[in-house]
Amino acid sequence: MEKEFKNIEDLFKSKFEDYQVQPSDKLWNNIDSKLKIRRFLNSGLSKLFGLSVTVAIITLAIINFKSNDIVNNVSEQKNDKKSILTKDISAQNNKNKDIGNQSSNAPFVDQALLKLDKAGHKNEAEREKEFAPIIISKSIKQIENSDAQIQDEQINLAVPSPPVPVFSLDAKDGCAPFTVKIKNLSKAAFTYEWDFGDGNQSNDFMPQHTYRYPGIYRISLKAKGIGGTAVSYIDSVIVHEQANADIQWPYENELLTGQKIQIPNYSKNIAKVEWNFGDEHFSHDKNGQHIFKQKGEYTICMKIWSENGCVDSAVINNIKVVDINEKIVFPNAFTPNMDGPVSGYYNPADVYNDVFYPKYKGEIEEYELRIFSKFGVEVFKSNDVSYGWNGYYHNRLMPEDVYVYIVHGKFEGNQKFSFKGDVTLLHKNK
Amino acid sequence: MKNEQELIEQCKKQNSKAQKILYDRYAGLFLGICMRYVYERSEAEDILQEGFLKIFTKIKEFEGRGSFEGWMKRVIVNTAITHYHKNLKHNKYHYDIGDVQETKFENETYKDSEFTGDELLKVINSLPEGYKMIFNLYAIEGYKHKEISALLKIDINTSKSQYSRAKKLIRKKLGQLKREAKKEKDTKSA
Repeated sequence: MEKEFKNIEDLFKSKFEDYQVQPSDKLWNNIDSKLKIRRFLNSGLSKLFGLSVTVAIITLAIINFKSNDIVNNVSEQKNDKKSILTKDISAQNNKNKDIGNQSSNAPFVDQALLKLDKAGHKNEAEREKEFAPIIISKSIKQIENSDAQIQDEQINLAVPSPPVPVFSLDAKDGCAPFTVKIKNLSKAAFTYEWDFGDGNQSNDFMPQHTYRYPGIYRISLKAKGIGGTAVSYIDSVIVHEQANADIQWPYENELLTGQKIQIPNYSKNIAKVEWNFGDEHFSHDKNGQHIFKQKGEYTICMKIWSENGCVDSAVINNIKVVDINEKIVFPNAFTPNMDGPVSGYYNPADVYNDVFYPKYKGEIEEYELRIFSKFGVEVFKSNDVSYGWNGYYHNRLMPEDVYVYIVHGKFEGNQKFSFKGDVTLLHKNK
Repeated sequence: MKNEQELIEQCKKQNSKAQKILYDRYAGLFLGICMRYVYERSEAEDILQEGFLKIFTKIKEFEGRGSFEGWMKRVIVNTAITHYHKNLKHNKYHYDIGDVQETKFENETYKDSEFTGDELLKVINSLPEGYKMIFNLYAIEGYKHKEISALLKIDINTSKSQYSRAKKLIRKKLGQLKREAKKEKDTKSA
């Protein structure tokens, strides 16, 4: 029967109750070898091994630092120690045969503890209580419980091979901040000391590290295993200086269609530049130069590449581009006063429409308006946007006709404009 | 060593063969869990490996109360949570968790056959990291918000509100999946 759910929880629960993904084949081997090492480290055998090393170190310490009057005594100990170590190893090798034979282990432990006693100033009763029974019983118990196969492994590991520190990086160079991921491929090791060469360390198995500053760094790995310590390193991890996109938008107001814009680029060490002006036009010049042909709202994006391939970008949002006629517009007809010329200084609140002048937004800094009759006579000229044409030329009313005007000028913010048009002069009916 | 009890006993003694049997029995299922927490397979396998090592070393602590599989699942999920915290510390996740737009879902039902496990896995993994953790833990693992807030070290109300947003996102994505499937069907039949 088809299962149907109202709750997504039920859908997901049912789907994932038995959802399986097959792991890769090598995974079990990884787990198994880690388990083996752990087993070894936890086993009585390794404790025994560790103890004998401790004894050796302590004895050596005595040899080096005790005063002269016990030197003879000490040299005896030294000999003893040698025999102990020999016994220790033979004891390990004979374990298979000698399982549970307390008498073969006991003298060793006893003597070992004797040395400990001298070094550590412990009395005999105390040390018997503390050490001997625990060690002996544990080693026997371990041997009883484990099967033959595990013992073999332990014996193999008991002749330890030195650790092999090996690692690889996902990338050897990058741009600051550069994060390097390390793959640890070491063998026969169980603790790791990483030095990233910039004052930072880690003890993780597979660390990752982020370099904040440009430079050349050495990553070194000190691996410790049962067989000792070994070091390896990877030189010259190169962290490049990050590219830094730095541009300045010089315009405060909206742009005009047809206006030539220039965006200075202050970015340093640039190998490659790409400007995307947002209207499907691109450029690879250092400074951004463009003319928007269509009105609208645009986003300009600049991307830079350094010589080392580091990338950065800068974006200018919400660039408004308007047509010139949204900023300045002339009427297409006007009706001069029939009773004589009025002043060209018009009042925008007037409704008579007896002066020809533009409506505009913003501040005009430069302005020139010229008007021609169809015979090419310049009938009017003004360099003041607040002064328009009253329809008279040399104090004579001009006939009804179409006149051509040419205007150019500049809004504040260097928005230049220049266009022409025509206007019809109409006489009012009397 | 067929019987589970015996298998547990042998694993407690660190018997290598028993460990392998246990691994073979559960590795697929557990990797399926891990993949819900990290979608990248190698990363998921790292978690699985770590999880199994924990299972084998902590198995002594399993007292036999409750289901063994459930206990193991908890170990795996906890390993995934540890991994999540580690990655958070490394700032690996940069997700903007903004508000999710509410869409109307009236009496929407979901048929089991409509979605494959792989599709739902992708849906889960498309969620922002925090939502994903909460959805996995609450909806699938069945943890309570109180537990989740403790595990993820977040406020209980955060857990609740993020869960409801996660659900909304998932509904939306399931809707998309349905539509896509329908489209495909239509083009095939056409």
